[in-house]
Parts: sequence; structure tokens; C-alpha cells
Amino acid sequence: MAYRVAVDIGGTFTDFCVFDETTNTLETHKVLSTPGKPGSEIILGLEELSKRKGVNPQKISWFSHGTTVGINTVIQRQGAKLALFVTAGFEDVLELARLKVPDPYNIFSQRPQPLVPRERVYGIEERILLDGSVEKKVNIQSVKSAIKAAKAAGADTIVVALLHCYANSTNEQQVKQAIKQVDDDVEVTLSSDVWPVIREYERTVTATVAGYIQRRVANYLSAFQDALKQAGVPALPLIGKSNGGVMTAELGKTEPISMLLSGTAAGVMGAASIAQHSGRAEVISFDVGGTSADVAIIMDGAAAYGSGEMVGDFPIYVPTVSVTSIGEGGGSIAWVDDFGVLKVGPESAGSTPGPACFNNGGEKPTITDAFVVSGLLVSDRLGYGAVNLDLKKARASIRSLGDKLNLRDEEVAESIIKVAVSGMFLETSKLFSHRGVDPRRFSMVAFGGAGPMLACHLAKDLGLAEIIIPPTPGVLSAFGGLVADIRNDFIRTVMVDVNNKGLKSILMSVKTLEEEAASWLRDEQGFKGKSELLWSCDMRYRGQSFEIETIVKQSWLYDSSSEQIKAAFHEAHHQVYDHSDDHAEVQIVNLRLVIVGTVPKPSLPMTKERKSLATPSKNVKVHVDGNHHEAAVFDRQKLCPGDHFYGPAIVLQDDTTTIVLPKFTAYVDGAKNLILTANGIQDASR
Amino acid sequence: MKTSPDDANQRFTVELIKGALNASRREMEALITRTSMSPFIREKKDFFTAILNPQGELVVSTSLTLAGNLIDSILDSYPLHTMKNGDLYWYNDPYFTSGAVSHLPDMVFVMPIFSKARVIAFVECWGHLWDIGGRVPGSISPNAKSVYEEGVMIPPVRVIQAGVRNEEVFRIFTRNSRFPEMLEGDLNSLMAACQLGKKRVEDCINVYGENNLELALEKTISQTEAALKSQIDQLIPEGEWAFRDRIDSDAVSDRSYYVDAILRHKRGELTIDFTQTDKQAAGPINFIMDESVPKFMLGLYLTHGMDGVIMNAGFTRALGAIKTSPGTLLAPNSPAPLGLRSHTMFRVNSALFGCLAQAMDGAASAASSVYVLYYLRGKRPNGGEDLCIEGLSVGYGARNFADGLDAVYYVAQENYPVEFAEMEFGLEIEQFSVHCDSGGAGRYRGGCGIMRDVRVLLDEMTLGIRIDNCRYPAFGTNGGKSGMPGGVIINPGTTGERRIKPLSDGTVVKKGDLIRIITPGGGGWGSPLDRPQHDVLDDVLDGYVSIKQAKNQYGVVLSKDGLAIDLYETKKLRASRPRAPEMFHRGEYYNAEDDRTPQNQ
Repeated sequence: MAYRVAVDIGGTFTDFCVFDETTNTLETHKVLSTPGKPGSEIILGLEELSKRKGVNPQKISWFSHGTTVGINTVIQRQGAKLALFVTAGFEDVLELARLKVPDPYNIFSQRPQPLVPRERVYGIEERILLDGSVEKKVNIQSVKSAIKAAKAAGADTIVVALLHCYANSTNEQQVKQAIKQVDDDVEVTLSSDVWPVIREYERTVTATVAGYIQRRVANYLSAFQDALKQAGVPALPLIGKSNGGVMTAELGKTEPISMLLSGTAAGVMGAASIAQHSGRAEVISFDVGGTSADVAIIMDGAAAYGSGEMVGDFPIYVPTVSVTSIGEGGGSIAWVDDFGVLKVGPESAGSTPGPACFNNGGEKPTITDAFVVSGLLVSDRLGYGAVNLDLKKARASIRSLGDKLNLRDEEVAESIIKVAVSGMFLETSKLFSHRGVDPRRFSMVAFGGAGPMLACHLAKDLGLAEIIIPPTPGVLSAFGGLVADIRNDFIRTVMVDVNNKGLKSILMSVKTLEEEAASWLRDEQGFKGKSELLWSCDMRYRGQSFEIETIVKQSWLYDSSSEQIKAAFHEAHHQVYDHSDDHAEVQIVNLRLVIVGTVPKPSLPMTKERKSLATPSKNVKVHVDGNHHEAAVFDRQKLCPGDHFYGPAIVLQDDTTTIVLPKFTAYVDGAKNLILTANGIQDASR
Repeated sequence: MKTSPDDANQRFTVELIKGALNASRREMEALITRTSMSPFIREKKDFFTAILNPQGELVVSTSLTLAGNLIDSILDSYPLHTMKNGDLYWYNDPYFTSGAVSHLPDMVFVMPIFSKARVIAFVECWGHLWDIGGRVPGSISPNAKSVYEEGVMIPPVRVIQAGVRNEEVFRIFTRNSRFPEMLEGDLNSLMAACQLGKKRVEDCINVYGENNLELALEKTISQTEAALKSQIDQLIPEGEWAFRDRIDSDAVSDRSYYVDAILRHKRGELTIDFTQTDKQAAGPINFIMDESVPKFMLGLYLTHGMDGVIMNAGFTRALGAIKTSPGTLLAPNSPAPLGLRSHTMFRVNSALFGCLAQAMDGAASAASSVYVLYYLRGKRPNGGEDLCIEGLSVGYGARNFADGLDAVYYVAQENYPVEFAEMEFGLEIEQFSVHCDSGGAGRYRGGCGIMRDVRVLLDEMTLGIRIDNCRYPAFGTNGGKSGMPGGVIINPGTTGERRIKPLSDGTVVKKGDLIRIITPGGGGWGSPLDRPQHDVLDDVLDGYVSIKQAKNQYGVVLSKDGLAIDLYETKKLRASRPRAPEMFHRGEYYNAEDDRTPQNQ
């Protein structure tokens, strides 16, 4: 038997999650990240795991890894020096950006600087028409003069994005050949390779981001592969994807665009796994770190997917687990504005200097300091003993606001928490409206360093059914990498009417997509296990300017079953808009295929629950809802399945602190999740 | 400043309620975006949500300066004491409501919220519907000569009475649309948003109590009022400033029109007199302007960047009287058509900026152009109708701290991707690019318009187009130059080249014709000679400014390849140029007062 290891490298900490297949147990570990020397935190972590927990690197059979290197490259603007080749007459495609302005209502609004300045965009004489026919062949001379100018301007990577290339990539391929003939060293990214789908701005901006990060991500992944080799790990290095799946690190070097948002996606997948394991169908994940809170809705074990998710200033249009990021975290700073009104964030103390209570040079009051002053944060073991809490410093920081507001410390602290939670409520409540679902049916999976600290406050305001705190809330993103499947997305723009003739005409596309998917899994991933194909179509009523992704059966596509496909669309339309039009003509814009190589999941043991009232290790004084209370303090490690207790209470563990507010009941289930409800133990043990 | 503990607690509760009200409003918006059908609402985000106090004063809303007096006209027909819990009121009648709504496609829905049998607040929303009847598909036409040609009018009616919906009213109304299903979907969506908003405000009453909610509604308004008053005291001296801005034509006649504004600041009170504005137009550029429109425009501009200021009735309270005269462009008599009232609304905004510029030593934005739309109608080979309506972007005015935005539409609309437009309509797009040199030169450059070349592929089509700012391009401020006008050319560069009127309908085009649409730029701000020469070089490299205009407008001399600045020649040239003689520029520098004399009309 062997070990499965997943690693999540964040800005400050690198989290390890290890599943021992012999004992069916989970181990976690944290080391400091080493952004300057990528790979060395992995070597260090593996050494420590080997020493402390006896994890033999040579027995690691699965190794997956999530990284923020791609997204940081975009945010810090450290990517390639790009040139962009487009169809002549459309050189301003990125500037025009479909006329979008970041904040249209704000007269101070400005568009972000594109990743490739207009002066390095070159027009190529060529034209493909909408049906894929070549109206104008590539004028090689125009390519040659573009290369000459691009090289003179210092470009090291060329992105090619031509009109209608999703229908026929011939011209893009020819441009690539011409570039390679002149200079084989320059990197070339084709939009038809990155994401061959209709809508030129969206395709071009996505390809631009892909070209921008390609070299840096490839270098990083090589360092990662070397690190594993050096540590003697035999497992194939895998890398997390924005769609919540994984792929080989080797492939990541050529498809970096699909791993940009893997970090947040892995957290959601971890939460989805916890929810599924405990039989919850409707879940919201709540991941709070130092600077932000990420929330996502999960239905029936599946995360929602979005397109056009923002990476820094840019939208990218590849399938991505849809996450809403709120600029408030444990380190968000509280302040008083000109009108004497208390505000929280968006400025954050981050991890350095961190909250005042970390005694690391920070003096401004943060959300974390407010919890310390309220008596709700008592642990001196935050971050595996890396941090000691300094009550005096926390108090001093809070007092600086109390003087302005003329309130007592505890009152200020409570106000800070309420303001922070109301900000989170503002962003979260509209997610439910947007999806048209009722929050009272939802369970919240709370994780991240500060998620379990704020969970009760937010859940109460939203009126959620219950809160689930997983056994290892601080490393759930790494855990998400441990339970991930190998997964890839394929798309083809077809644009046909849903009738016998239209469906017959896309049969070739269906077969080609399926072959591409099978060969990706078999040849490029070397995967031999069980696999699954998920088909869907982006459909619309003729004349509509938007599409709805509708799940279809493979047999409907092969049998050209237009009635079933239409019916599925009418139903999807009805679900979203509360009405549908059975007589209107229906069109398929894009054909989509997801291939999933199913990886056997670690089977976490369910322990029999033995109902009993848990005994606290001590009691402390806390200030909640304007009153002083006695709160019971529990050690998470000592809690057993079946234990229950009542709020106000505080649960300590290495990862994080869970706060159980008055009127909440806590219950430990068979999988050692902590379940919090406002309705009593019967509901908790359902 | 120290505050008492009670005061601090109160402020804090007010903040929480304010947050909750905004959350409620945004939930309403999310519901509308999710469930509405028409592209106007979904893509262009042409809708509005608000919460108001029992007096009908706006408390929180979408930041759009198009909120009229939303409640009074309902109260005229349905006094407060006759309202029942669960009532929902509906209207779109601009004349009957004195401009609570400014053109017919915007459908307004209002629900009273009760606490103990007393109306404690209102929730409101409106959305721009796709087609409500009238002379053309889409209801709005440049050729309309009367409001009766622009669709069906609904005076304030109680469409849901104590929770019971009047189905007959809907059947009558939807029968008048060319797209009844879409209309019904949108109406349901807007009404559901009101119901949701009502529920959320009721939750607020349950959590915080009736008294605290009332307090929060009032405080939210008075905070805004106080903020704007203090800004006026700080930024605007006592005095009187007048400005006149112009609209090219009203489509029906060929004459131009003007909006005239006189801003007065006397003993702390700021008033605006629009009474000398041009008489009402025969074509659809009339704008029934509620007093809140100029007040919100001024309020938003003067308080921008201040933390915690919410756009609401505080602006209305903080500013003094707004005067208009009946029978003018801003207070037309029925049944003057209203469909293209944006053309006039943009000029109200730029006339106010013109006044502010004089009051504040030039520290106000230059003028923006109004957005552009074109319509192509034709028959497909299979006999089907082909209707293409595309919105196009223009350049916005430079600000006194930054360049104007390039290529932007009003509100949040996105355009059709080229690949989609070609798929949907019988046309091929051969060019879509920034309109070089169209942004007015200045220390801060005006935004550039765009250029779109459209090749006709069907045998025959008719073209309708609305471009303003051609005869009167967006003016420049504080020494900045005006933007470049737009235009429409059929078959440019060929023997068959012809220009058509920028605001017109019914032009016939044939298969193979090329339509070139060029949109206008925004005005510049500050002297072009003060623009850092490297910014000018960047603009040349990026294609916003030509080498020639870099020299002519900015006095920056570039090397022949346009890659480097000739420092010596630039210094010499810039030193030899005279400074701007006047505050404003449109083709030439001019004085705001001279521009208002009778011979300039």
C-alpha cells in the first residue's frame, strides 16, 4: 500500500495533505512557501513528512499540486513580452473589448492596460468566412513584415488570433509555420489551440493570457518535476486545473491557461467532496483567508462552472469552477471614515505584518484583532504554532478606533465583526438570487484559516440550514487535489438548427471531439482507468443573444434525436427563466464534451456515533451580542463522533479556530465533521 | 470629533441597515438579470432598482441619473391611505407622470411596504422593454413625430390589488407587442424583483425594527445632503455662469437645437435655470426632464470619490430650484415624441459641465458624444426578415485628471462580436477599429470613437442611423480641443462614394455596398501643448493619434517612422505656439457668453 499526497502552494504557507492507504487516515502539514525557489518547499515538506510522520517518498503513488504561479504572473505583470497577430482591419480588438468598461457608472473608471500594447499588434492579410471557407489566403509577405516589426520591438512570444479560426484553423497554422521558418525560438500561441470558440474578443483575450504566462509556468513546472525526482517520488506529477480536475504537469507546460484558477477551484472541489460524503445536496463553500473570502455554490456534488472569470484585470473564457471573491478576510483592516462611520477593508494587513495581535509589526485593527478582543480567539497555536496571539496589541489597535467612536473595546470589536459580516452578506445573498435557489436549504462548508471563525455569523444572517466544518479546514484546497479526477474540456462551435439535417451535419464534429478526448486521456495522460464522457450543448432560441448550456445524452447526438435535444433545452430554459417556448426554433451554438478519468477516491472511514455531551477543557469569558458569556473551549482532536455541545463555544485545532455562537448546537458526525445548527441536535444528526 | 455612545451605536445600526437595503436592491438586480428575456435588459443592463421613503424620496438605487419623481403620480390616482399590502403599481406614461419616466419603453413598477398598516417605504424598478408596439419593431424610431407612434402608454394603474393580479390588463398590453412572449417574460421578471425587494425590506423591519428602519432611511438621505452641501461650499464660489450646448438635428427637420443652462450660487443655494432652452422639437429628441436629473448629475460629479456618499434624494434636497419653461425641449407639451431623448440628456450634462468649468477654473470634464445606433432591415433569400440593431461606441470627454474613455457605449452594453454579427445578419464586417485622431487634443485627450466597415450581402437593405455630434462635435474645455465628428459614408474611396445624413432612416443599400460608420470622439481638456510628449508618442504608437496630428495639435515632432521624438524641434515648435485664448473649443476657441448671443442661434 502507498500514500497519496496533494500540495497547495499559497502566498504564505504551503499545505500538504497525505492519505495513508494502509491505515485510511489523513495527515496534514504546513511549511512556509519559497516563492524565490520554486520546488524547494516541496522538498522540505516531504523531508519533514518523512521524519515526523514516516511518509516514505518512494511509496507515494499519487502526487497532485495546485499553484498560483500563473495568476501571479498576470497580476504582477511578469509574463512574456507579447506580440499579437490578428486579421488586418481588427488590430484594436483588445482595446475595443466589446466596449466594456470596468465600472460603467463611475466617471473615474479607466480601462486596464492590455497585456500586449497596441503598438505590438499587427494585421495579417487573410480572411476566413463564418462557414470556415477561406476567402483570402494568408499573405505570407504580411506575416514576414509583422515578424520583423515584432522582433524589432523585442517580442519573445507571438499570439495569433484570426477571425473565424474556430471554424477553420488553417490560416492560423500557416501563420505559425511562417513564423517558425523565420525564427524557431519565438514561442507561438494559436487561439484555435487555446479555446476554439466563436466571439473574437473573448477568444483573443484568452489566447493572450495563455501566451503571456506560458514560459513562466513551463519553467515552474520543470522545477516542480525536478523536485519530485530529487525527492525520489515515483508518482506522475499532476497539476490542478481551474475546472477542478487534474492533468499531468508535462501537459501543463503547453496548456497553462487551464490551470490559472486551480487554487480556488481545488478548495471548492474539497468542499464538494465533504458535502457528498456526508450526503448534502445543496452546499455553499466559504473559504476565508487573510485577505479575501471565496464563496461558491455546489448542487448535487457538482460545482457551478463559469466562463469569463477574471484573472487580474482580464476575463478568461475557459471552463472554470465559478467562485465569487469578496475582498474581506481575517486580516482586513477596520477604520473610521470622514462621517464617523466604521468601515472594514478592502485594505488588508495580509500575512506581513499581519493583524496587530500577531505582534509582527502590524498596528492597525483587523477582523482577527476584533475576535481576540471579544475573547473568541484564545488559541496560542495558530498556524501550527507559528503565531502567538498578543491580547495587549489587539486591544491597543481596537482602542484607536474606540477613541474616535467613543465606544468600549468590546463594543468596537463586535461592531467590526458585524460590519465585516454585513459586507460578506451583501455579496453572498445575491448569489442565491442569481441562481434562484433558497438559502434555507443550504449547508455551508466553512474552511480556510478564518472561515470557521466567521461561519456562524454569516450563516445566521443568510438563514442557512447548517454549517459543516471539515476535519482539516485549514488544508481543504490541498484535500481537493487529493480527491480530484483527471478532467479536460473540449469545445466546437457548430451553429446549426436543431433538426434532422442540422444534427446530421454535426456528426463528424461529435466523432472528432470524442476521438480528441479519448486520445487526450489515453495518450497524453497515460490514463488506463475508468472514464466518463459528459456531453452538453450551448443552445438558444433563434435570435437570442445568449446561450444556455444544456446537458444532452451521447445517444441523442449519434441518433440525431432532435425532439429529445429540444425538450432538454426547453426544460433548461424553463428552469432559468420560468418559461419556455415549445414552438420556437432552437439552435446549437457550441458542442461541448468533458472527459473524466475517474480516480479511485480515498475512502475515509465512518466511525460509529456514540451520542454524548462533550466535556470542555476550560471555560473563558467572551463578549457576544452586547453581553458577556461563559464560553466552553474544546480541543478538536479530542472530540469523538457523536459528541455534542452548545454555544457559545470555541473549538481549537492546529488549522483554525471554530466559533460556535449562542443558540447554536455543535455535533460531531461519523466522518468527524463538526456540524453546527441553530435548531438543536435532532437536525444536526439527520 | 467625539460622538456620544448612543450616537455611535445609532450610526452603526444605520450603516447595517443601509448595507441591508443595498443588498436587497442588488438581489433585485440579480433576479432581473437572471430572469429577463430582452437583450436590452440582459446585455445592455438597461434597468433600475430603488428603495424610496414614504414621501417618494429616493434612498438607495442604481447609479443612473435617470430617476424621476417616481411616486407622486401614483398618489394622484391612488392616495396613500387607499393603498393595501400586496398592491403593485405600473406605468410608462411620461406625460401623465411629468417625466417620472422619460420614454415609453421604460416600464416602471412600484410596491408599497407596510408596517402595522402604515406605508413605511416603497420598492421600485424599471426596465427597458424590447417592443411595446408603435410604428416600428423596437418601438423607437428617429422618424416619430408624436409620442403615440412610440408604443402603448400605461398611466399609473394598480395591476396587482392586495395580491390579486389583474390579468386583463396584461392581455390588453401584450396584444400590442410584436414579441409578446419576450414582453411577458420581462414584465414577470420586473414584478418578481419588486416582490423580492419588498420581502427583503420587510425582513429588515423584523430584524432592526420599524423605528430604526425609518431612521436609516432618513439618515441615508441626510448624509448625502450634508456631503453635497459641504462640497458646494468648498468647490463653487458665489456667482452666475451660463452655458449653451447644441444637438445636431431632430431627424424630422434639419434644424439644430440647444440646451441652455444658467448655474447660480447665491448664499449657499445652487440653482439652475434652463428656461432659455430651445423650443420643443418636431422629432423625438424631446426630454421631459425631472428636476432630479440635473441635480443627480451635479451631485454625482461633485461628490465623486467621497467615501460613503450614496446617490439619492439628498442631492435633490441639497440643491435649489431647477427651472424649465413649458413648450421647450426640456418640458415639451404632449404629444411631442420622446424616443431619442438621450441626445438631449447628454447635452444637459455637458451644459452643466460647461457651467462648472467656468465656476471652478476649468476643473470640469469636457463634453462626451452620445452613443450611436444603426438599423439594417432586409429580406433573406428564404423570405425571412433580417433585422440588425447594433449599438456602437463613441469617445467620452477628457476629465481634468485623466484622458476620456475610448470607444464606450452608455451604461454597460456590450456590442455584438464581429463573428456573431456575420452569423446573424446578412453582412460582412471588414474593419472594426479605433477612429484615429477623433479624440479632442488636450493635456488630457478626449476618448476616440470607432470606425466600422459593413459590407451588405443581401440583395437590398434599408439603413437607419442615429449619430449626433457631427455638426456640433463634443466641445473641449480649459484649452482642450473639440472631438472629431462622426459620419456615414457609402462606398468610400470609390466613384460611387456618397455621404448620408448621420441622423436618418430609409437609406436603400444594395448587395456589395460598403457602409462605413465613423463615430465621434470626446472633447479634450487643458492645452494640448501641456500634454507630456511621451504620452503623445504612446498615442501615436497605439494608433490613437497620427504623426501629422501629433505635430499639428500637440506640437510634438516625431521621427519619420514615428518611433522617436525629435526633442529639439518639439521644444521649438511648442514654444512658438500661442496659448489657448478661451476656455472652450469647438472647431475654434470660443467664449461661452458669446455663444449664447442671438446671432449664434
